[in-house]
Amino acid sequence: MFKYDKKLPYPIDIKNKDIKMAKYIITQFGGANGELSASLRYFSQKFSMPTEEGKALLNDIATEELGHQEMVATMVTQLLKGASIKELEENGLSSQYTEHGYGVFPTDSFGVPWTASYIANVGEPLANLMEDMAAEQKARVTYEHLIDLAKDEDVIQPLLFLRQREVVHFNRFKELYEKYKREGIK
Amino acid sequence: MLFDFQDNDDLYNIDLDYFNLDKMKKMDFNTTKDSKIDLENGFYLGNAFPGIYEQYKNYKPKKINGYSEQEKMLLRIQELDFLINDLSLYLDINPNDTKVFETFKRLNMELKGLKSKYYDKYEVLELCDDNKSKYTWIDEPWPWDGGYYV
Repeated sequence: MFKYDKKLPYPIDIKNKDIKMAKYIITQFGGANGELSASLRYFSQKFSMPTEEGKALLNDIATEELGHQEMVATMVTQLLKGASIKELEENGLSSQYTEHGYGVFPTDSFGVPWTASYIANVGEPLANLMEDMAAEQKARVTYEHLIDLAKDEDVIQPLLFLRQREVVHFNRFKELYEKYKREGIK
Repeated sequence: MLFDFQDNDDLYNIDLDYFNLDKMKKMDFNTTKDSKIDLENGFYLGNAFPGIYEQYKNYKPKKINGYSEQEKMLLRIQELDFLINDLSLYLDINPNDTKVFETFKRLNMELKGLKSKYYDKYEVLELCDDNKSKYTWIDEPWPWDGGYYV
């Protein structure tokens, strides 16, 4: 089961409105390489992991990614705080407003809704772990693109934190992959 | 104010040998487990293991300073939670590393004590701790509301 902790994994307090940045960052909630994809990918895969190490790692990274979803959605919420309809229109979010108002909805930066086809689970640990390693790399690069676009330290610092987590997860998946290879586990 | 940073150069004194390609090629990744831990800066770097840290361009992660006692306490809780989680990912695949496990236990004990102190003085973080005279779980701010360190 899951228990909620009433705090974020890393502090977020964005004081300056930035509608364009909100439009970009939403992709790490509901885009192909976002945190929703990550958490559901590992959550689904944990049920077919063959060893105790694999079950634990997939379970624990899936759980961590749920907290990252909340961080990304929090960033979007705070970046849009106080935005008028006119400002949304001027920054390319009038269709977003039509469909979702000020609600946070899992889409990529183009507004394309999240789909389960972003994730994979072929039920075999080596193939799944290779998928997970690629996913962490793609998520890392997406965070780098967002950091390139960001100007405010309040936004850059949480993005740096989230990017580094992808680096850590990649390395842990890689270690497990190599362990399975070495031990002939399939 | 959340990101009123103090520059702290110590944060970036990371062993660059890890990024030396020649050295990396010689390392046997199948048997070498790097368990060096940076308890002091790990949270701010987003990575408690300097051996696998990767900086992006010239961007520097910065230390955060709490102003009120509440902010400082909550920040430390976040930090401990982070370290425990990061160590657990390592322990998941290296469960017999007793040195890392001892550190993990020590951090867990500190977190337990601090969370209980924080709840007594300020607010509830976990539903199962909401034992005061009235139901306070619903009290704002919720983590996405901003304003201070939650």
